[in-house]
Amino acid sequence: MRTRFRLTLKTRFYANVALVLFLFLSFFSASAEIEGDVANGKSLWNANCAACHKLDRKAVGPALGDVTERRTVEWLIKWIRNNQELRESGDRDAIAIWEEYNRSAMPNYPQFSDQDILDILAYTIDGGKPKEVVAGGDGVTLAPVDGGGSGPAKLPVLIGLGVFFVLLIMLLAKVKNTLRIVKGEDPESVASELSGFSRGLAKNSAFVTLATIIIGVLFLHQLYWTLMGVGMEQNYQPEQPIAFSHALHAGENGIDCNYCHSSARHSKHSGIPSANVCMNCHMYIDGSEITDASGNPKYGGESSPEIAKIYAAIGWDPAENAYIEGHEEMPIKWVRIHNLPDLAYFNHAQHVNAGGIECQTCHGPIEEMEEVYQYSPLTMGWCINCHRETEVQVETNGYYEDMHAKLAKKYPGEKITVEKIGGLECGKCHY
Amino acid sequence: MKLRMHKIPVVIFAAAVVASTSCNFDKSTPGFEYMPDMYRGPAIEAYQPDGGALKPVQGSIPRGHDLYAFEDSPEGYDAAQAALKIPAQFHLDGLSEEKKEKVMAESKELYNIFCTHCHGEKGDGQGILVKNEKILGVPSYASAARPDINEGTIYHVIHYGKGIMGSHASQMTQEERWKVTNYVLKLRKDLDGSAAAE
Repeated sequence: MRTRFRLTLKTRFYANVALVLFLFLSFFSASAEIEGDVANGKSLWNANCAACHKLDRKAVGPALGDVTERRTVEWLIKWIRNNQELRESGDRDAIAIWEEYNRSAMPNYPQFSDQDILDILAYTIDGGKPKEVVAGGDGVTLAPVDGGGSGPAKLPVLIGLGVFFVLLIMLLAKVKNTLRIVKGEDPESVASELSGFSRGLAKNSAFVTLATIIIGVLFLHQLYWTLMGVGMEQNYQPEQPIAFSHALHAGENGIDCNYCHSSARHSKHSGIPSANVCMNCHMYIDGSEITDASGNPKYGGESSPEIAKIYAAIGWDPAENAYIEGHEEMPIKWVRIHNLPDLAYFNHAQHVNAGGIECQTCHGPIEEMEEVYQYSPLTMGWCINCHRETEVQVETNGYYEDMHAKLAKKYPGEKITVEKIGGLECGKCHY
Repeated sequence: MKLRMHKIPVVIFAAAVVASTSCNFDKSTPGFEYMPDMYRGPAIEAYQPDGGALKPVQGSIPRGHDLYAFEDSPEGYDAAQAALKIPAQFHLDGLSEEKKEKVMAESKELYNIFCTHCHGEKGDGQGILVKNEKILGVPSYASAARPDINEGTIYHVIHYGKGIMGSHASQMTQEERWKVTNYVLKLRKDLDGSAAAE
């Protein structure tokens, strides 16, 4: 696809630039047309420029959506191909922009042809325009994080059904009474009819026995599970301060658990990442690129409100692409889900490094969870069961070499489970 | 007292209601605890509501870490490029083949945890985030694309970040950073090798 753009005449006047040069330049840029292949420009842009530049806002380098209005094409070609040479030639604009961005030099791109650069410039003009149609297009869409599920929707339906049945009973009673009156008998109220029915049931000893047994069993069952649930927090799913989706980060984008929870390999705790770890990606991804169903920016070019919570906590100004100086950092108050009682000791590093256990073994399908809940019961019985069944990975772990030889002699032909290396000793976890 | 027998169905109904409603588990609360004293110890644990994740005292250095000599600036980058070398204890030369393989396997694992979603498994800048168009413009490690990379700059960039890449110093120990540096150099060699073969 080839698109033609006309450049608006807009050159900046510098007092020390000779008038002739000025006229020449403005003549040239006024007559210049950017004729470029937007698709090729986009792929070049994505591969070479997008790391440091965005179209609509400042990133590592300046925003480039309107760069062709600010600079002439000749200047841009020189700058992109070798900005160092341009600076050294004494070009004031070049030196000024270099100083403005803390003298961090942009790489040179001598491999670009003039046409390549025109293609990129064509993309800077075209890329910023709102998209016309993208039905379910390639824009990023975040699935809404909905906590409740179908729970609240069911309740009105149940109430509606209840009301319907009560009305139905009243209607039938009315019909019955009408029939009675037709037959010449006295009408009876619903209540007296009901009590007659229950009196009949109460005199039926088989029914009374059965009912007593059912009530008793139900009660005991409920009592047992209520008591068993004391101190057990399985399925605990508190609302978190940021609607963070593991399904998006660990699932769709395949980021390793250890990237954010890096302390799991080193420490007792698998730490909740501090905001600087979020910023490793979210310095760049601010959610403004998220589009709605029609392909337009969902948040009007602003950061997504959830990502903005990270920025507020750490003090990042997405418009300036810089940390706010003197900002008082606030912690993000994540709610801890997995709590072991103080009387039990658990060490992540031991299980992850020596044990080689996958995170999902205990935490469940985290990469599919929009909102995290406690997957495992984390009871002692659950721990013990796993220690009884899990075979120690002796082959890949030199630490166990010596021990394994002894154990193989002690339990010939048997699996070497965690239990056999002392995984059921009380003192392993309680001290 | 004589039980009024005709009330029994009412009792059954009430019991059924209680039984069915008490099964509901409120997911937003952790539930009941027996003897909270034994569950919530007085010792400070990580992520307690008060005094949870705290910063280390200013100026403290983690065990096994050295001070880093280079500044976070373009000059520091150039200085690291010129002067920063892999320390002897992390050098691969002089290791037996078996040991070298083991270290490289560990290095690969670390690379796959910390780098691969942007830089790609081969270091060609085609990680999953780039393919999903979340992060753009990740360069390849190949000499043609980045002639200035050496062991010093790789470590420097892991430590401070560069451009849109953030600092990974809080996530990786110094040993891990050097291991990844070794692995990136290997990927660079592989990429250059396959480019030369074409």
